[in-house]
Amino acid sequence: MRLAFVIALLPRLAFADPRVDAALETHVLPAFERLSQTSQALAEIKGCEVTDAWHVATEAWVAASHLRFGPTETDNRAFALAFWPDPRGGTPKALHALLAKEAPDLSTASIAGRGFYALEFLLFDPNFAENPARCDLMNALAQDASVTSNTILADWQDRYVALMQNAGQNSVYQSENEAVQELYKALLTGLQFSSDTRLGRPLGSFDRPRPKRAEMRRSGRSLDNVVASLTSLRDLAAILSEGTPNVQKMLDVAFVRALEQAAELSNQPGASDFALVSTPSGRLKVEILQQDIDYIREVAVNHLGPALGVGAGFNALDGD
Amino acid sequence: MTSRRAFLTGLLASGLVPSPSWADAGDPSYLSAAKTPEGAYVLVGLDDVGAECFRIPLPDRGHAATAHPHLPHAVAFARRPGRFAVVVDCRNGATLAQLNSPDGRHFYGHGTFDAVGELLFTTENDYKNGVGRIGIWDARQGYLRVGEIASNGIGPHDLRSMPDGTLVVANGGIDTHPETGRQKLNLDTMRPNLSYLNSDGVVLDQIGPIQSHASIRHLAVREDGLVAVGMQWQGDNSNSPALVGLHQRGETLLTFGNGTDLNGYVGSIAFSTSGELVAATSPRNGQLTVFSAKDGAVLQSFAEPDICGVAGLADGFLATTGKGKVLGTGMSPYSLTKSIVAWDNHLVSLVR
Repeated sequence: MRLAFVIALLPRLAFADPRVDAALETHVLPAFERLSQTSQALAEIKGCEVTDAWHVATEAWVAASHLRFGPTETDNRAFALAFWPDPRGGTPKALHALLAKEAPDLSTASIAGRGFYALEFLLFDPNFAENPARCDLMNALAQDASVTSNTILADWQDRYVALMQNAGQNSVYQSENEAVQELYKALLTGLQFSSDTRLGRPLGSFDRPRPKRAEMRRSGRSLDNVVASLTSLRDLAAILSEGTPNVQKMLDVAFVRALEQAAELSNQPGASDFALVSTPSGRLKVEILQQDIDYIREVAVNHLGPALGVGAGFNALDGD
Repeated sequence: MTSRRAFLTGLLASGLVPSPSWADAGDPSYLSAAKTPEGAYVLVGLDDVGAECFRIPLPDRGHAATAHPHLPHAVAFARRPGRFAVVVDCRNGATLAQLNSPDGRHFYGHGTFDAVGELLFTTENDYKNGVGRIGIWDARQGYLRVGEIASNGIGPHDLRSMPDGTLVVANGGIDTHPETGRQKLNLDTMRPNLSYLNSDGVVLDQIGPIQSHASIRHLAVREDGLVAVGMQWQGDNSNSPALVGLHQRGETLLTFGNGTDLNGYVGSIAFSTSGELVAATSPRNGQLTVFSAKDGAVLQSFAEPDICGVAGLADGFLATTGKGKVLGTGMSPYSLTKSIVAWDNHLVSLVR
């Protein structure tokens, strides 16, 4: 009796969902810290030799890219870091416009010409290799990405961590469960993006594979990005399923299967940029990876969602 | 050249022969797309207490539907970015026509007939150019595509016929491309608008929301031409402006309905048949809110999981949920029926 009374008096903060706390401390904040540090390292290099630092920062972005809510969505920050997919070829157009200017103001430039995908064009696309303004623009874009990454991290630290920890006491998360649901949605969104977009775009159809639509094919990061994302999502899935060991085990087995398939795929010629989708046997291997990812999603929807008490509404998720 | 079918349809439309009416279709009052537990998609006719009058299979997930003003024809539209719309005879479920969006176009999920039922208008994406179009189809010629006009914005979603024969279009402002599914490609530059057009595509009036990240998405029109708009906020819920609006052509947009309380998202909007009330649903926080159409005052609000479809009754509304419920609102909400289907976004009132 007395204990219940004491508990009732404790501040609500003490009851923040442990899974949300763990996700914030060991997944979300470290991911954005790493993005901020690696972007800064990229920005500190002056000159043209930025390829290695670009790979490191890009990988850090991909590992955080499923966390598309709150700080990344304010002022289009995520778009300023990562404008992809780009079905109308906005990035090369925007880059040509920037290269034609003396000292372009990036803050007012088209968002398609900013971030890690724009940098990839400047680094790897032969159409830009000879441009004398290329390295200056790369340095400016790196600087811009570093500012954006720092702003996202600061927004998490100063504002958004508290909102998620105090879910149910603010207007962004109107009940305690909504913070868990947000992280669960991020897991599903990340898996879906890899399956539908990272793999689905280059796969195209059997009659018409579209290898040139692969993400970051110029730098050969297409498969690496899938692996970086899966690795990060595996962490998040383990945190969210803490407390339901059966579900945790099922999810981890599913992730291991997909990562093993990706590792096997990486030994094939034409895997790094998914050029192999043009051959029947290569295509099959990419399709198997896609099915493995879809299977993780199925386990999450059928087992993790119910365990967390966050069913997905037919209309609530529609978005129209 | 007039085909036999077109000739007959024309005769029917002109009233020279006794034409079938909605009474022959079991007198439904409402239409809604739905998903069955087996995963099939259907269009369902409901009477005014939520009982099923008919059920017709659809090739894929639907979104909204529109009903012919006097013939028992309903047009069910594919969910964005679908490329089909099906015209069904609601008496027997026969497919009268299948509309396919032309090359380089997909449908957005809404359409409307003109007042006499001769022309059907559909919202479409010219996705190569990233601009909105309104497709025009002739019901008298077996739903032949006879033209198109500019929607005068990006992402036209809902559109309605106005009492004076013009059109009102909700240009949501969001650019998408079927290659990238529903991914939003222009959040940084989006500029939604509400456009009034005549059928030649001339812009008669156009207004934007107060904030450019409020995507104008759904519409309802009262007999006197007052337009209710439901908006969806592209940003943090905590910063959301009011998301329900009322607009009379030539005047400013009156907005109300706390966007944060609506979880930044209005799914459907409707007038009561008396025209005195406006209802907005938000499936994201499972809530239906009834406002006064005079001043936007909140008159009623209740929670119901995954509520989205809403249409007018004389003194209130009929609403549907993704969990199969059909509810009525009056002094307090009351449950009418519970089905095993998931009711999709929109409950469409038959014009009679």
